[in-house]
Amino acid sequence: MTEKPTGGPSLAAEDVVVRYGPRTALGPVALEFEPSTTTAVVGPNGCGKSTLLRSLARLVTPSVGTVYLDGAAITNLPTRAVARSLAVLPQAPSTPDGVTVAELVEQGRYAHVGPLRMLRRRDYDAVERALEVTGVARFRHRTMDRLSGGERQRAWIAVTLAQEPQIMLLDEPTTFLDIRHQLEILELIRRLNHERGITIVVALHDVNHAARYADRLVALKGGAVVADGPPAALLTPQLIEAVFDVSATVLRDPRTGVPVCIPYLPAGRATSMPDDRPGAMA
Amino acid sequence: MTGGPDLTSGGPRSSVPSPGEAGGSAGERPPALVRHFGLVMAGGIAVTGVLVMLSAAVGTTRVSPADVVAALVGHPVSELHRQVVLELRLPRALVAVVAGGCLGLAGALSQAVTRNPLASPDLTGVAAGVVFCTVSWIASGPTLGATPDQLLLQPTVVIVGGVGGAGTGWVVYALSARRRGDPVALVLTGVVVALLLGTATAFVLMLSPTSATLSAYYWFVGSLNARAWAHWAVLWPWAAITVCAALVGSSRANVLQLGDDVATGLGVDPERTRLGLFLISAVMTAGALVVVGAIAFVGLIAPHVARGLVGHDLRRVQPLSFVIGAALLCGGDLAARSVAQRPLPTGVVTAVLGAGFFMFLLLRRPVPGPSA
Repeated sequence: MTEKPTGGPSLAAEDVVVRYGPRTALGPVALEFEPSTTTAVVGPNGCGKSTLLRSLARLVTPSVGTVYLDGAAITNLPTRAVARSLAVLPQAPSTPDGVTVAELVEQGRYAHVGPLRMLRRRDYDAVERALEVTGVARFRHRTMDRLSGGERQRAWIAVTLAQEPQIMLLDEPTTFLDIRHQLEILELIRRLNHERGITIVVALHDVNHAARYADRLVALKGGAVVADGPPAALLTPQLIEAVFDVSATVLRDPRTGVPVCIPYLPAGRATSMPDDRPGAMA
Repeated sequence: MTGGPDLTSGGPRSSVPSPGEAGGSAGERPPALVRHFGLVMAGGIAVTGVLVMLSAAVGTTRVSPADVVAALVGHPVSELHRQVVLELRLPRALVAVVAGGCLGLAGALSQAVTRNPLASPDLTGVAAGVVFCTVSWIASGPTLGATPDQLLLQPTVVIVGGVGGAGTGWVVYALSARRRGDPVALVLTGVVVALLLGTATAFVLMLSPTSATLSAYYWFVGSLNARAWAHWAVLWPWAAITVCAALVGSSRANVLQLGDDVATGLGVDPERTRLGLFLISAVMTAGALVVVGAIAFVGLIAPHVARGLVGHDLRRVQPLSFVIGAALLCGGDLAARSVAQRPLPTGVVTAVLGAGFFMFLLLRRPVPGPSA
């Protein structure tokens, strides 16, 4: 394996609390993300994964606490300056009709272009590299609505890559994709981390993917961090039960050696599903 | 290659199966009209130029194209020709070109920043706000010590109209915030607010002195009759400022089209940018409406046609919308002057065209099924 480039700005959440009205969606959370690491955020639906990523990406302003990008409060930095080092892919972004892949990816250069917002040579080069790396170069003139789900997601990742960020925040980038496309996206993320040293924070709903592709797992439940550490140490039946409310058997992946969990509904829960067959209540 | 006008661009895309890996051949190229955008623009400008020439030639005094050119280059064949072409018809045609262009471009801009293909000034309440404020302003003319017609020729009226248009548009946008994904929600809110403002306008007119009411009424109908260099003088500075601002802002607007979260991630402050671009669009609309009256639908039609031709990149859509709007209004005026014995108000022609176009857009919109 080649030497992984390291460095880049640090990202940290300090005592971050996010409230939507009276409901606390996240926190208090204190997390630091080392440069050039891959962190997967896992947890059940509504646990605050998205909220954590959104506050790290300044898409929501924390009610309490501060997110620091390279030591400076992110909400005090000009949003364009932030965009030059930090890119975010929100969950299921909607695409306007008729926009081609190339046009979309060019938008990724917004934070880098000059005062007249004209793309220059190195902007087009960055766009080109992003299209190549994500494998969407041959669809470049196709409109987004004519792509499959996996191709569309890769095009969106290309947008964030065109930003040439040192930190990428990805909110459930594999949702709605089939297994092959999920793995392609995850392999792409791993390559970006390994080859370019990009710091990755990715929310994933599949713990096995998280364990396989991340250096570090952060497990959230009810807006709080319940576990934080390397997957090999963290992925235990106890943790799975605590976080997801399921019992689990944890095995070793025979090919990679990373832990793999097989979840089961706890005994007694399996039959508590509402039975909607006619006459079932009788 | 684009699907042309489409009302569903607000929401997430439904999953369309890929045409197949094999179909994505390496030889794919952008649509011809996108590759030859310069030619499309040149064609639009040429058509507009021909319409301006025709405008200068057609009327009770017929002037041959050659004589029009002669008058334009400063060698009119007669004093009558000089007056008719240079003093009457040329300013009228230029006002039509620039006002129509502004309406088209303002429509493109507001449709982009609201991510709503129906958000033209007529349907978002912006035009109604401009009309209400302008009518109120000129109706209060006597108290301000100026006649309504004088007030209509002062630059202040554009600011008054622009503030009214921007304020109304902003209220409509905020009121429909809960149904952001549905383009029709914004339009329904806009139509309701426009109805209210229409009543308020009528009320103001009722309370005003008769002379002011008449002036306001003539203005209100939307016409290019008797538009002269004085009108041009009101129109061009605002048009120049707002058109430049819109073109400079087109890459920001492009980013904003991707939604607020993505826009923030790419380095655009969505709220501030939207407000700024919205103001530009409102002042642009006000500048045009103050001079030509309540001309409807140019801001709806022009951007749709432009997107149908060259896709959604605003760096292309904006200039092309301007040219199409210019051709529409100039052509509409030409038609209004030539189809009937008595010249029709231009607003009637664009309203008929626009109403048909709007119905076409509504009818081709996919009906959401109960299971969808």
